[in-house]
Amino acid sequence: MNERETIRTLLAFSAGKPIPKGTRLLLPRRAPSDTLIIAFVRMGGESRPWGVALGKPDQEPTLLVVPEPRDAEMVAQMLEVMVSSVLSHLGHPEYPGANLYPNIPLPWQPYRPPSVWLPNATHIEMLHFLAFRYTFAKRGEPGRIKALNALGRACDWLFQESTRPGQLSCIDASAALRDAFSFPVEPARLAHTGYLVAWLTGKGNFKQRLRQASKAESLPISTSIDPALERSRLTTLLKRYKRAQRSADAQECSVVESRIRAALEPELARRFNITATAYTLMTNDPRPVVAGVCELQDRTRESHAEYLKVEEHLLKNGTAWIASPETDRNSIRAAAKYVTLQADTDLARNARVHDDASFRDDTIYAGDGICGDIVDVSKIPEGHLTRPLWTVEERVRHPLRIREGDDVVLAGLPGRQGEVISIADDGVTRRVQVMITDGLREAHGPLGWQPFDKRWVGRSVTFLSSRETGFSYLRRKMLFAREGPGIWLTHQQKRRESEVGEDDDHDG
Amino acid sequence: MPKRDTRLRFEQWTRNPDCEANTLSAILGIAMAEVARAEGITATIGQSPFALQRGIQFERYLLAREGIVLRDELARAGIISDASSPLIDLRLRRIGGGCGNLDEARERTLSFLRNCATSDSMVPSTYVLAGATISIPGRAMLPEAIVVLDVLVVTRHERHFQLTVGEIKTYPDRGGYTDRRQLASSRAQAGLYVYGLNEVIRAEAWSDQIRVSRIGFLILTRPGTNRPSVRAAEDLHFQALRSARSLEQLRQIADQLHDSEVSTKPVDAVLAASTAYQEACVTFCDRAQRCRDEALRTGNPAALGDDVAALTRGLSLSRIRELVQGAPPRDDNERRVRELAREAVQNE
Repeated sequence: MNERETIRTLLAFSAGKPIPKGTRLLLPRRAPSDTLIIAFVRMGGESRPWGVALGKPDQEPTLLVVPEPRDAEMVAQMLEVMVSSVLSHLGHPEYPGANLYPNIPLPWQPYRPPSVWLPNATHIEMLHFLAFRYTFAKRGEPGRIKALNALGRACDWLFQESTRPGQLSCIDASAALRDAFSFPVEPARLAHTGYLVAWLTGKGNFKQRLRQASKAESLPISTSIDPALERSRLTTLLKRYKRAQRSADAQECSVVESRIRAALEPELARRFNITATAYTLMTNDPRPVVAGVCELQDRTRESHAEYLKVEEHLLKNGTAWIASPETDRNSIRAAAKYVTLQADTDLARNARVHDDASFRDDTIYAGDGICGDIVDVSKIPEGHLTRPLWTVEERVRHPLRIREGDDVVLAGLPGRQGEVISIADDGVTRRVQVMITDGLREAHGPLGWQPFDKRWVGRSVTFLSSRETGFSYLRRKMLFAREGPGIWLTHQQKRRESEVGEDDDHDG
Repeated sequence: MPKRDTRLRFEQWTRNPDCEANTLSAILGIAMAEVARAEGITATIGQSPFALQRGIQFERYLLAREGIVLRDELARAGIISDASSPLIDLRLRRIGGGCGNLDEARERTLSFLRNCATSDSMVPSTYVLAGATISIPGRAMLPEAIVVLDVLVVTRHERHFQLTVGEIKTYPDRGGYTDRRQLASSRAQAGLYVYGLNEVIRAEAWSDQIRVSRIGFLILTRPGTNRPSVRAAEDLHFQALRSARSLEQLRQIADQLHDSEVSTKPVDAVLAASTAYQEACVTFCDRAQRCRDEALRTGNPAALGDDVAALTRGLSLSRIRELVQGAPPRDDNERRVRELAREAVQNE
């Protein structure tokens, strides 16, 4: 938590309730029909689900429960039921969803990126567990295994997306709320979505809201079930179920199964409903969405297309290179993923920083920006050209990471870029000279005057360190180049065209 | 009755060493849940019975048939060179081992180490010990600091034996995505074992014959299965140093305790001790809610988190609220907080 985050906690405390963080939202609003909520519960110590709730936020969820989560076959049967819902939501070629635009030919239909909401990070972890378990699973009824393999790959894609900065497909509800609001509580409590929702929907002063939130906090929201419930009800029921199974007493099995279901369904429904409330809170928030969301959507589309390409390839040819949930398996691929993540980080930052004044202040506070008044506009020769030179003065309030020679961008007008020529700092005032290199023409809006225009003098401007994503993408391309110095070393590892993977179907 | 395996007590203490009640609870071996119950609070922090059962089952699976699965995995991970190295099971009989109680396990562990140090008659070059038990010398915990090591690999080198510590956990190994807090906690435990072994060896003057490796290993599960996944080459050096520092602190506090406190009504002693709320308390202490309420009542900024307490440097919550609402500052610290608040509200 940085100082500005901490001070926001104090502001929220002073207000007696959560306060909006920033002036813009990062997540685009999605219709309930375009959103899928998934929530899990699991037995303590296990990494397979005991039950799953899934559905649209404005509808009753489908609740799936198995009596014995340690039985791999039972869990596989349960998960087979959720395959079509999840895969059709992701636009899987084998599971086409309902066509919302029947009058528009498929290639011209508007792109609808997947939007999967989960209660908190533990549920996203469960996606990874499922990816580990089923991506390369081989044993079992062939039809089911094929469906579960597809589910494993889908879960892996969703999990990998959740780790990508600026992604819009796999939403952790608690993280979405934390990103949009500051809460007057300790950060350690902020992972509990029910607690956050209670703060946001609660009524009254600080103490009254705190009481309501504390009550909500006592009910677990993670994938784990309250150990007290496990001790008091489920342990006995499972023992009974095991006994009935051993003695092949189908009637007793059915009775106990319905009791286990009765114990777990409210748990699942609560997790689902809290996530649905979080979704509604975010959708109904009056703040506008950041203008840069279009770039994030484009990147999401690109990542989604990569996932679908593999699925289509598998359908057509029966084989494809499938990413392992555990490792990149290839150093070049790992390096490419790393630079892509760097590019995504910059893209997410750029999407927000020009539009959201509060986020921009955070950036300046972190030393990645200069905010001051223009005291002089002059000209500087560069080769046979003449460039505008702005001299900006700002009060020294925090350290600056920007150095002479660094590229900067004018906040609010990303097309106008410059290079820092000199920085002079006397401890009180910082004087920075910026040569404008791009965006020399007149543009629309309050920042649109030509940079040579003397009217700029006295105007307040903000320059931010430029984080262009293009170079990262170029580096990714260079990584795969088969010519150049050092490739005898970097391309030593053979690239596999298809991935078989290891089957983990042994339970010991 | 106080718990004899002190590892959990030690870890509990390290999460908030500033809290006197927590310190006493760790030293005296009184669970905070018990103290909370005595105070009329319903204990909510507890372990899942299924998770406990799973832990036992996983360990049993690893160690069944003289630890064939464990030895195979250790050999595959390069921790032992030969999968046929013998397993010596020093676990308690109630969980499938060969010892009646902790005292017997400790005695047999010491006797094994003594053999390593004194005789050349041990034929195989590598042994795998399950449930090795040691008492950490000194008086850090009362009545004594006993730790049980999940796995200990003993390897004969040219002039000495090397001990390598291993820790078994049932949480899934997800490569680089494995839960960092769980990994940190497991490494901390293993670090305590490294420190404990070093102390025992020093106390018995076996330093020339037996050395403890600073590199250990973790045995986790593969997600969704019962198969083990060994994470070798875990550097435990700094965790061992942390344990040494923390246990020394505990030792000093334990020395100051009056015997009366120790023997009569230890729960009352913990109840009477002062508390110091910190954010970490939320994760382990049943009295956290009570302490947070108390912090809010007394205006302690720790109620809003450790970062707030650090940033405001001793200002009370009511004063912070006044400053945020525009009250004139009285000193540089208050000026700083007010300035930060003013900057933050500008564009919110």
